[in-house]
Amino acid sequence: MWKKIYSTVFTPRLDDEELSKRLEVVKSAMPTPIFWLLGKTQSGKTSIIKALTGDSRAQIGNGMHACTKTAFIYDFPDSQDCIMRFLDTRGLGEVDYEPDCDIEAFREQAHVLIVVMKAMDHSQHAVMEAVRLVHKAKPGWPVIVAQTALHEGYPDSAFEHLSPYPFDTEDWADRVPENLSRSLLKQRSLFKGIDAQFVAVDFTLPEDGYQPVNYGLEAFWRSLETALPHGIAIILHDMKEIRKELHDVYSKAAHPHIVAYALTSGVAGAVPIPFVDIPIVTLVQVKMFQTIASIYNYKLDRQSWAEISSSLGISLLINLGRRELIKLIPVYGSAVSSVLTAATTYALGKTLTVYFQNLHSGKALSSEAFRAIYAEQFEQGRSMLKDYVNEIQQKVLK
Amino acid sequence: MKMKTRWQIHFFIIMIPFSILLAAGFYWLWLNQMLILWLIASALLGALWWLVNQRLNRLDLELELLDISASVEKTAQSKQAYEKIERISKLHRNSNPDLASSGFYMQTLLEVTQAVAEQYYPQRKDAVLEIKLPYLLKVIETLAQELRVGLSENVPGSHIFSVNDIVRSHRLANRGRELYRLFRIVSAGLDPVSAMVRELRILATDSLLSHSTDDLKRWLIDAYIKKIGYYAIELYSGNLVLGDEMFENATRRSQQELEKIKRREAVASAEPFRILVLGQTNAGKSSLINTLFGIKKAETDVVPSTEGITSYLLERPGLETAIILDCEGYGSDDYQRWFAKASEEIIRSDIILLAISATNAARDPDKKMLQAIQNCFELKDKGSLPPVVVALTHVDQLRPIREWNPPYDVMSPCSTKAQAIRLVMDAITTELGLNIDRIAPVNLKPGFEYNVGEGLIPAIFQQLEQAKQVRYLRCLKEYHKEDYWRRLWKQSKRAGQYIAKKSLSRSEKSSAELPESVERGGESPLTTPAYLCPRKSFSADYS
Repeated sequence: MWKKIYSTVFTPRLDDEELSKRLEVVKSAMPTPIFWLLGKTQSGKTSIIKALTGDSRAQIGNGMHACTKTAFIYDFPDSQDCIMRFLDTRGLGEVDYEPDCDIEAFREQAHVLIVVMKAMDHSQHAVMEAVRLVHKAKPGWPVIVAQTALHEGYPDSAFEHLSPYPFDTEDWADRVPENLSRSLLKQRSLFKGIDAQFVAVDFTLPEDGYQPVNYGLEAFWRSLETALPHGIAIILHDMKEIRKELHDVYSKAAHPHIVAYALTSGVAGAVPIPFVDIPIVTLVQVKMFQTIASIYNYKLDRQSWAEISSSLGISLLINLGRRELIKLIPVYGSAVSSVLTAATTYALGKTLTVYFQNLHSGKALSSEAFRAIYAEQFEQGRSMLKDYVNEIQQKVLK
Repeated sequence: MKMKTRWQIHFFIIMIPFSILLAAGFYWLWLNQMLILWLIASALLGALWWLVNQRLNRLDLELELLDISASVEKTAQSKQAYEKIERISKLHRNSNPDLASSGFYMQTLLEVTQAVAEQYYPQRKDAVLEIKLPYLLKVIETLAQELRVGLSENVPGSHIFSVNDIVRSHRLANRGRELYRLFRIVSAGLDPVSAMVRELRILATDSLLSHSTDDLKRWLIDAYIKKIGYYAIELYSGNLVLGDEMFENATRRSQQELEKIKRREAVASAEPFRILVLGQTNAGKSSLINTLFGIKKAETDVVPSTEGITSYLLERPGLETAIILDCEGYGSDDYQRWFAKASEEIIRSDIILLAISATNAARDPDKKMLQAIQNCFELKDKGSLPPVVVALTHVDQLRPIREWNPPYDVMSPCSTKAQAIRLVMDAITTELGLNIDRIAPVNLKPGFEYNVGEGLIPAIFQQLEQAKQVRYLRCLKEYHKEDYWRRLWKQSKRAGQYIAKKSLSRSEKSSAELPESVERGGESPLTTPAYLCPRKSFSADYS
């Protein structure tokens, strides 16, 4: 068994093949919501993706030529361990672009519609036509309306973003500049008859001089809850509490991956895949291991594996053994198993993050400390992921 | 003793010494046998001068004939017609006709009209009849009008003298001439020397006058023929428009609109330029209008505020009066519906001012709109598209967003902002197929206005020539259309009246003799062409 794990870790090619094959099965069972961003050219669709994912692939238009010439799919956080995807389509209103075909095609692929419009732009006929078309075909889809480029509605260029973010409050219309609030309300009135959620954002560039650069990002994540219920969207983004002791840039980057792997392993636990030689969960965990290590620019080798294993004082086999044990119990056990597996993966990922972080800063924590962190994160992961994993599992079991 | 007699005696006595000198001079010459020499020398001198004079006349007094070739339409047909007229004129001015008889005018008129008509309708047998009666009358009217204007401008006091005055003064002048002749005879007996001098002078001026009368006559014949020729060309080429009020008054549609504006503005105006302001919703059309006027005229708002089409009257010293039409923005409503509303105004506009927001990269609606305008013009066979000038608004919101330090040189951009503006202009150039000199980047934010006077208005002016042509064509077309129906209505209304009057006048004919002058008026050269129309078509017009 150890040999298998070793070889899995040190011969990644083999591992990748093996893993991707198995993960395919898991992924097909896992609901990965696709968010379809629909809006005029240069209305800020790609900026939204960039703000949400931090994906540098999301090229932001320079304000002149439309840059999303064909549709792009952005996986979040990664194509390997993605739990949500963004479909960025060509901007409406681009010269000589007839969107009807694309709309028809994407209507079958996506799950959530994010309508993007500049807050001060009312030339939205083409967008509303498309929205109504989609809504008619898929009335059940959640619709999120992102109203962007708020600064265009500010009274002058010296005006700063309002802080705290006022659009969550009941009386936001009285707090923001009058022209802006009237324009926002007018746009919202276009969605009569559609149960849409509205969120006002302004994702600018650092050189534009507005603080914060991604104004309203938290609110936007909250609005994504319609598609990712039970706090998962917030877990993915809002990590202020969680990050308290793990605050470095790498951990921030690693966090969504950990959540994604945790969920994948949770689902994997529920999927009746015949036990071959290595349980799929272990594979997922190993993959996460690799991902986190690569985020910290750490090269895994035989020795480091032993080191990590010993310094963490956590045996992967413990997890494995527990999982297999519980799996003996039917349905209920399976459910418990799923959540526990997810929590284990989560805790493991978090502990690894702390380990690499310490390695980076040259500190050395005792194995007791790591075990404490692991236990703490395990509880946190379990409470966070419980609802979501259960829901996925219910679906999978059906 | 009468004063006159005393004066005569006084004059006679004073003149005696000079008469003696003259007689003595002759006597002296005779005594010295030189009188014959003097006579010969005088005769020679006279003969020589006569010769020189003849030569000079031929050299200098070549007539400056009327040249109207510039005002004749520049088509091959018109040019040929004009050449024909020139030939006729040359023929007549050298044949020394009798200008006092009306026969000459009649004949020339017919000849010229025939020549021009044949030029335009070479296939027709009766080419000269290829005209509509009202147009013929129009020519007469215009000629008469020119005559009137010429008379009142060139003959002093012509507008205050009555015909009676002229007749009386003529009689007076005749009597004066008779008295003068008597004086000449009488005084010749009394003072032969001065009488001789005077008679010589009269002779000289008379011959000179008769000479220049000859020139005048030739000039008159030429002018007459050319004028007729010019109008004949106008008539047969179809350029003539009934009613000269065409460009003095607005067409009826604009009139109604103008009246609406006048009530608001209390200002009258002639047919103005129609500047149509188009653009997507929130592109800044109303702000553009306010900036052009310098005061708030149009309602501006961040949410769509302009509904339908609102017209404003723009009057600025040094600028032509213009109607500026603020059109509802497109892009927020169904495109077809918008176009149905606006197409009527688009067809009638002389220049299109297209507002495009620099922050709105979705220019497909703009392109579609321009395409639709073009299709619309092609469909209605209106040749000339109104020129399009783009006002690129909201350039202040381009990156860097918070910077605004005009001026920005977009032709050789060095700052980031200028580059950003230039990029948008280039994108518009390629996407909409408009020349870059038709795009003016502007800022319309109150207090930060930029490049309206320096950039946008010159860009409009640049297109003004084309716009003028468009306006002329539009007026001509609208006028013809309007004119046609108006006249038809009047004719049908009057037809009844005419018949009623006719029967009435017939019954009264015995008692009410028409004055002689009126009957003769029909023979005057200006009204003669009325007879060219056959009776048939004449009656057809009224029945």
